[in-house]
Amino acid sequence: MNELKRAIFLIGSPKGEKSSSASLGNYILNLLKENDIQTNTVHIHSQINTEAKTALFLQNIERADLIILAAPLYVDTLPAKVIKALTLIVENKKKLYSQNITPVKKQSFAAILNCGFPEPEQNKVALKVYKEFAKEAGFNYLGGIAIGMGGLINGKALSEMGGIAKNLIKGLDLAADDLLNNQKISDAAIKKTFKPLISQNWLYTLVGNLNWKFKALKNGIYKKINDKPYT
Amino acid sequence: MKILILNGESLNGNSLEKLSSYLKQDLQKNNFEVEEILLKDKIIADCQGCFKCWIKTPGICIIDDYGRETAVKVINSDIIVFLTPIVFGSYSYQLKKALDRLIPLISPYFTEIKGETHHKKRYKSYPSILAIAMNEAKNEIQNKIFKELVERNSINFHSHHFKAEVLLFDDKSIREKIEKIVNNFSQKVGVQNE
Repeated sequence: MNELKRAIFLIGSPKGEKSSSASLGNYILNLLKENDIQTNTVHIHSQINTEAKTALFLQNIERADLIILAAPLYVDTLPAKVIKALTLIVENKKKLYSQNITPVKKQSFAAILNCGFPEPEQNKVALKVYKEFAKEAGFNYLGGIAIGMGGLINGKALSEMGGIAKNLIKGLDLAADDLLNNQKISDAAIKKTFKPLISQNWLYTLVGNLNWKFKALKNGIYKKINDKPYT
Repeated sequence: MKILILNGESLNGNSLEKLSSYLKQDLQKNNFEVEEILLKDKIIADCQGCFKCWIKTPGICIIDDYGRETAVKVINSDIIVFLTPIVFGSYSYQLKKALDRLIPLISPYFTEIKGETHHKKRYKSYPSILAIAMNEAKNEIQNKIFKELVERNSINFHSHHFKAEVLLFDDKSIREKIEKIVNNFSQKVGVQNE
């Protein structure tokens, strides 16, 4: 019998539903929904700004059997607001524990990371940080998925990305199966999602650099893009 | 040399005042110009991830708060010191909210450093990083993560030197340890600057 009943999806990007984090997490969430799992999505940046919202956020965490967090890599680790949210969760756990209130069953946690660099390896420190968080919160850590070239997703639904998302989708399908069974994300899922969306890194960086130039041109600041305003 | 201390003490956590006071004393002994920012006292909004600091107002964050001021001070320092309680092996929210807002200091363009993709420099030189984290109990795993994180930051931030240390709040020899860390690091950075 499947023990998983309720999953909460935490979007750790300030861009919310328009983010690559949302695209990745929503893909998994839809697969969970198809298996009759109740789901709830929380955009961290807008849901821990007041005491009332924070209390509701923590209540929702307590009700979940599975917590999935998807966030970008900011300065080699978690975005500030995600650190704040995870700190609140651990503090609340300690408070509940001191009152002898513990969840009926052990909750599980999984992370989905994406970075704008082509190398998914650049997420490795953040992955370790998430594992430490899970340990401190008393969660069963089901592992993490790390994706490079996040700029190519750019908030699009994965189904609209065509062939370049083929391996990513296969990997997320495998990961969703693991999560449904409350099992650690398999090496096969990690390996598939680890594959670059474009096989040549140089092409990704070339397109990336052109994209910045194009946007600067559009904003009328092309000649100022390398400005040094503070020296 | 100009030193900027970014004090990431948490709102309701252990005080880092003693640590910061020892640090300032030791740095001033070396005739450095020292400034400290107690980040929890400053209004610094979270980075919005909009990249407008790269493609609309190059080098300047669109949010007009103390995050901008911090970036000005950082790029004009020779050393930046991170003080933080260790949080899951990483930085506190207070420190990280300031670090996320330093993105305008680098270029949007990609470059390759040691076979890995990073962003190009915007400025000619960047400060070295001395990072000191405090923990309540020994935790070798988190110590290792913290040191790895600071090393990664030094690559992305084009810092010539970096040093990361984790100390315990109840460490009786904290005074001596800080003195040693400061002396070794300032010597290393001083040689570089000469």
